Amino acid sequence: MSALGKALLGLHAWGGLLFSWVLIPVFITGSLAVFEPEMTHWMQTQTAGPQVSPAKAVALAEERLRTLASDAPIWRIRLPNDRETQIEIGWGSNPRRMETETLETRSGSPVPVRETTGGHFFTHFHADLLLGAPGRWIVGAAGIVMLAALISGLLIHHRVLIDFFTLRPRASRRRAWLDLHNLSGIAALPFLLMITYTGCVILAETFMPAATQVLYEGNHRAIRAEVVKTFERKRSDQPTENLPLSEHLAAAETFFGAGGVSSLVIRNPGDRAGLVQAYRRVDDRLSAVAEHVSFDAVTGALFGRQQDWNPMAFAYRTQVGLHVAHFGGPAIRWLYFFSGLLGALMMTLGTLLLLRKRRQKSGLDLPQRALEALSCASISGILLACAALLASNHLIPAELAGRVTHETRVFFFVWGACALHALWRGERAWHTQCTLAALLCGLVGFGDLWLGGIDDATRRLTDLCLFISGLLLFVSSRRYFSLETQP
Amino acid sequence: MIPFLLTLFTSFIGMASLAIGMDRHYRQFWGAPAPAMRLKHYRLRGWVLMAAAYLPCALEWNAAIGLIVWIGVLTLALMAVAWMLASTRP
Repeated sequence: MSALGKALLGLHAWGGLLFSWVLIPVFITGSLAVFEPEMTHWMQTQTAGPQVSPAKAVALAEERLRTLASDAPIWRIRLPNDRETQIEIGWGSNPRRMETETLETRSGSPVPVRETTGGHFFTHFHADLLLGAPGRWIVGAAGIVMLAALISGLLIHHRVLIDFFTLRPRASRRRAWLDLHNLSGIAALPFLLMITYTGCVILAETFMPAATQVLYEGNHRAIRAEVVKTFERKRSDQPTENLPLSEHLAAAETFFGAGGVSSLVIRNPGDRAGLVQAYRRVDDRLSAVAEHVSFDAVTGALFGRQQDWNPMAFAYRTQVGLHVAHFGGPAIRWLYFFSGLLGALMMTLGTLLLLRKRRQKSGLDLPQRALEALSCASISGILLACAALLASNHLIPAELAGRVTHETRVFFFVWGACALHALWRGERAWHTQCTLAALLCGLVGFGDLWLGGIDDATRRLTDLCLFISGLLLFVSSRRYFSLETQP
Repeated sequence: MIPFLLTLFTSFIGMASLAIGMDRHYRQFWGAPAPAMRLKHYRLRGWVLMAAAYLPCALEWNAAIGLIVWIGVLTLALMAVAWMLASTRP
């Protein structure tokens, strides 16, 4: 092998291994995050009501907000759609920190929901490991190494391009892993390049803040303010009767088409200077930009609208849109889910290949044990931690104070315990943790059906997916996971 | 739903043709060595079918979203074809 080849292999293998401890959890939680609203629905143990027209939903929400928060400066109404069948209302003075309530579509009465971070936990963990800015640095660095590992991998395994259908499961264990590593890498390559690149683009502002510092004096909000027009005005303190919100909705639909409104924000309701702002849905285009129109709450006159965008901002938001995948419906969600897991599979196999090679060379010394334990925690450990999070969500009583923190604690506690367990038990930990995760998935699915999931289509489907993934995990951990050096 | 299944089916057949257009997999599939012209035909058919699989996606969604769906489906098709070839004895 040439010197360049050796250097590339070193980068690919060690860069891949060290960062796989972040990348595999990020890929697995990212794949789950594609189904964020569905996961939230499951974790809040909701049961869906009937589909209602947007006008009916707005009327129900308005009635509730009038009785509940007539003096709040901001109201927000999220209309039901294909994925979320209930109405979510919010009120307060800070649009980022609102009081929220979920309304049932039949009568408009509030639904008791389990207090939980829901599917957002996975999105949040995927984005910054719940560590804030340092987490974004870690994930961003991992993303850049991932890009380098993808390109160097293509150069190292270039023979795969001649015949990428090669898969020899009956050959030696090393051969079979290498084939599957190459195959999954090639099959998912367009997706992996796209998702990693767009992920880095989303985080770019964190690790390349120079432009923000120079042009906007370090204020991130200023960039957004320059791109997204806001239409606001001061409160007049003259109480007036507003037009019913459904009339504003109808006016907004003349701009966005029937069913085109995703949410309404009402500023200073019941005031002479009140404004109703309607946001267009974003799930029918790549670019994640929400066009919006504002109306005078009292007269219904058009106050302002934004339907065209700065081309640079639009291009940036297209890359964000590609990453978060709100478009394309269930087909895109499942394809992203599978491609993401395929990426995790590829990294897992690469990790196993390197660990096995190193073990053959240097035996079970202390660094080897540590490397194996960390890899085990990042692969089977994260699966068990995710399953434990779902289990804790259903087991912790709904009325317990601070249950949200408890759920997060369970996740990290189980993850840490997995790392210690792997350090203690060595390679036997893989099998134990995978089996536990598989059993837990099955039990959680069964438990949810018993807790009323049987009445709700989304929850039934989630439970079915839990059964299937438990079964697959059980079978595959029995058959394939072993670091034995004998073929 | 139907356009999506059409894309899935067409890209699977296309990917399978591409594989059968390779000497080793031709023998795996037909159990006999291949005449060179037939290999070429299989490969050509494979590429054409895979390209054609984009059309239903583009019509169901739009050119941009269809492209993403199409690429994702090709990923699935490649995995499925490789899996099926691996489970046939050489």
